[in-house]
Amino acid sequence: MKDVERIPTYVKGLDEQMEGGVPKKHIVLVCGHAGTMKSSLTYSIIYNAYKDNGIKSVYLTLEQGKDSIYTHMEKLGMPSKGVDGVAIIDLAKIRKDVLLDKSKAEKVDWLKSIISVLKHYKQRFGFDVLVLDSLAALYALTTFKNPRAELFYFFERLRELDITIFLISEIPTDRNVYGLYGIEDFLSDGIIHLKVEQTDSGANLYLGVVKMRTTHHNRSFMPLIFEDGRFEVVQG
Amino acid sequence: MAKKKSSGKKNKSAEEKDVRSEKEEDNVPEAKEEKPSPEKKKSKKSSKSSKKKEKTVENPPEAVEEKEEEAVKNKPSRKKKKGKKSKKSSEMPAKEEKVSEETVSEGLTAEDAKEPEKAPEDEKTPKEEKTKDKAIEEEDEYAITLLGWATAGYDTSKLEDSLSRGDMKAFKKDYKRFEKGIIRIEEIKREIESLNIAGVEKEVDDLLQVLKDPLHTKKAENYLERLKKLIHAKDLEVELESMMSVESLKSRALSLKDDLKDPDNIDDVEEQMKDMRREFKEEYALNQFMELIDEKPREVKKIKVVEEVRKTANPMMVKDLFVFTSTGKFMGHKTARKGAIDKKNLIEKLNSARDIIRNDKISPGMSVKIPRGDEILLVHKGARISVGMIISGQPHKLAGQLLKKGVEMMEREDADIIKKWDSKSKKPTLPHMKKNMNAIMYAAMKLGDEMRK
Repeated sequence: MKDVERIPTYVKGLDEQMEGGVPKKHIVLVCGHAGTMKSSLTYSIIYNAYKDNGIKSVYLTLEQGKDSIYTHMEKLGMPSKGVDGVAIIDLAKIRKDVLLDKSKAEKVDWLKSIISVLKHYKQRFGFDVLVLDSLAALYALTTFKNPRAELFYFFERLRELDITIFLISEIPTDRNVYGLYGIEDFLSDGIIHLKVEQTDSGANLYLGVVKMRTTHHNRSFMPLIFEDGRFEVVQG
Repeated sequence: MAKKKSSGKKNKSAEEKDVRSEKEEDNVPEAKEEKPSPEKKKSKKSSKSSKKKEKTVENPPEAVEEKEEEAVKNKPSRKKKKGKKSKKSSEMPAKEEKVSEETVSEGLTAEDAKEPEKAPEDEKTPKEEKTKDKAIEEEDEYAITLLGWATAGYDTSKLEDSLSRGDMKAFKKDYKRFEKGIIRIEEIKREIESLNIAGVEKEVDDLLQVLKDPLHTKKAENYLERLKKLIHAKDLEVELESMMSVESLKSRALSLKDDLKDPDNIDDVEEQMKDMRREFKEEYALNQFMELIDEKPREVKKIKVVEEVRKTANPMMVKDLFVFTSTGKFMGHKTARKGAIDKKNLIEKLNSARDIIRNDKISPGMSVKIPRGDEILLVHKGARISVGMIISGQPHKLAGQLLKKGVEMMEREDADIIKKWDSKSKKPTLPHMKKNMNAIMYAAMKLGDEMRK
C-alpha cells in the first residue's frame, strides 16, 4: 500500500500516535467549546508546518480580527515577523461591514465567494493548508434552505481545492454533535476534539482524535498542555 | 653545431659508418615528415627497435650503460626540441645546401654528407630513443587537445606557453587544472542557460568572456554569483512593483526598490519583503472578496461613460432613432445622416440597443447611456415600447427625459393597439409611431441647438 503523506500536528506525543500526522488533502474538524484553544492549535500546526517544511497556508478568519490573532500567537511564541508563508485572510472585518449594510448582506453568497477567492488565491500564490475559523461564523452569514445538500456541496467545493483543510467548529452546548447541523462529522475525514474538564484545582484541557480516515490512531482523550511555545499531550 | 658534429663523425670506423648509413636511410624521411600518422609512427617504432636490438649486440653492455648515463646528463631541454621541431621545415633545406658545399670538395655525395649529422642520435641507447619518441608523441597529443580546446573557444595561450617552456611537470599540472576548469565552465554554462537573462545581457557577455579561461574558474564563479544576484534583484523589483498596487505597501515598496539598485542589499531587502509579501497576499485576497460581493464593476462602468462623454465637448447632434417593442423587436428607424449610410455600423448599434432592452437588470422606465465609437447610444426602456437614439457630441442633460416622454407618448397614443398586442404574435403597426419619431428627432435637434447657443 502506498504511504500516505501527512502533515504533522506538531503536538508532542500526538503525531507518534497517528502515523505521523493528518493525511494530506483531508478535511479535518477541530472542534470544542469556547476557550479550548482550537484556533491556537490549528495556527500552531500551520505555523510549524511552514517553519519546518515550508508548507504555505491560509488562515481564513470570520471571527477574530487579523491583528488580534497575530498578537495572540506572538504571545504564544509564534511571531509572524518574517513568516510570509502563513497569511491571515481577515473576513471578520468585511463581515462586520457587510452586516451593517442590510441590502448587501442579503446579496452575498459567502460560501461561493469564499471558494472563489481561495481558488484564485491558490492559483496566484499557492498554498497547501487552509484553516477556516469558524464554521459557526460562516453559518451565521448563510441562510441554508437545505443545509444537508448545501453543506455537502460546500465540502465538495472545498475538496476540489486539493489541499489539507482544518475547519474550526464550535460544538453546540445543547447537543452531542461536532457541528451545528450534525452532518459535518460525516462530511469530514477527521475529527480532533478538544475539551475542558473541571477539576477541584481548576480546569484541564484534553485532546482526542475521534476520527481520522486512513490512519491508525489512539482514540483516548489525553491531557493537552501548552509549554515553551508548543503543545504536548501527556500519556497516561 | 652541425659542422662540429659532422667532423667528429668522419673519424668513426667504416663498420660503424655502414650501420649509420642504414639508419640514416630510415631517419631522413622521418626528419622530413612533419606529423606522422599513428600507423606510420608504429611501423617506424618497430623498425627502430629492431635496429636498436642490433646495436646492443654490437656494443658491450658497459658501453651502453655509460651512454645511457651520458644521455640522461645531456638530455636536451624541451625548449630545444620545440625549437628544432618548429624550425624543421624552414631550416632543413638550408642545412642541405651548406653540407653540399662542404662535401663536394671532398668528393662525397649529398647523401653521405647527411650521415654525420645524425650520428649523435645513433649513439643514443634504445631506452633513450623510446623515451624520446614517447615524449614527442605525448607532446603531439597534448598539442592536438589544446587545438581542440582553442577551437571550442577556450583561451589556451597560457597552456601553450607552458608546453613550449618544456617543463612537462609544470605543464601537466596546468593541463589538469585546465581540464578541471573546463568541466566547471560547462556546468556554469548550463547554469546560465537555465537563467532568465532578460535585462542582464551585458553581464552575461562579461561572464562569457571570463569563461574562456578555464584556469580562472573562481573568477567566473564570482561573476556568476553576481549575475544571479542581479537577476534575483530584477525579480524582486517586479514583485515590489506589483506590491505598489496595495496602498499600505506603496511607500515601503518604493524604498526597497531603491535599495535594490545595489545588489549587495538583496538579503536585507528580501528579509524585509517577507512581511510585505504576507501583507500583500492578505490584501489581495480581501480585494478579491470585496470585488465579488460589491457592485463595483457597475460603478466603474458609469465613471467610464461619464469620462467618455466629457471627452466629446461638442453639442449634441441626433443621428438615428430606433423604435422597438418591449421584447426588443425592431419596429422603426429614422435617420438624420446624409449620404451613404454605414449599414454594418448601424446594425451594430441597433443590436447594442436591443441587448440593453432585453437585459433583465434594466427594468422599464430606466434610461441607459453607452458610448459606441465616437458616438453615444441612448436607450429608454418603456413598458411596451422602447427607443434608442444615436447621437454625436455631448448629450443634452434633458436627452434622457426627451426619450422618456417620446416613449410615453407612443404608448399612450397607440395604447389600444399596444394593449391588445401579444408579444408572441406579429409586431403591430402603430399609426402614430412615425409622427412621434419625427417629434423626438425634432426636439432632440432643438436641444442640440440650445447647446450650441
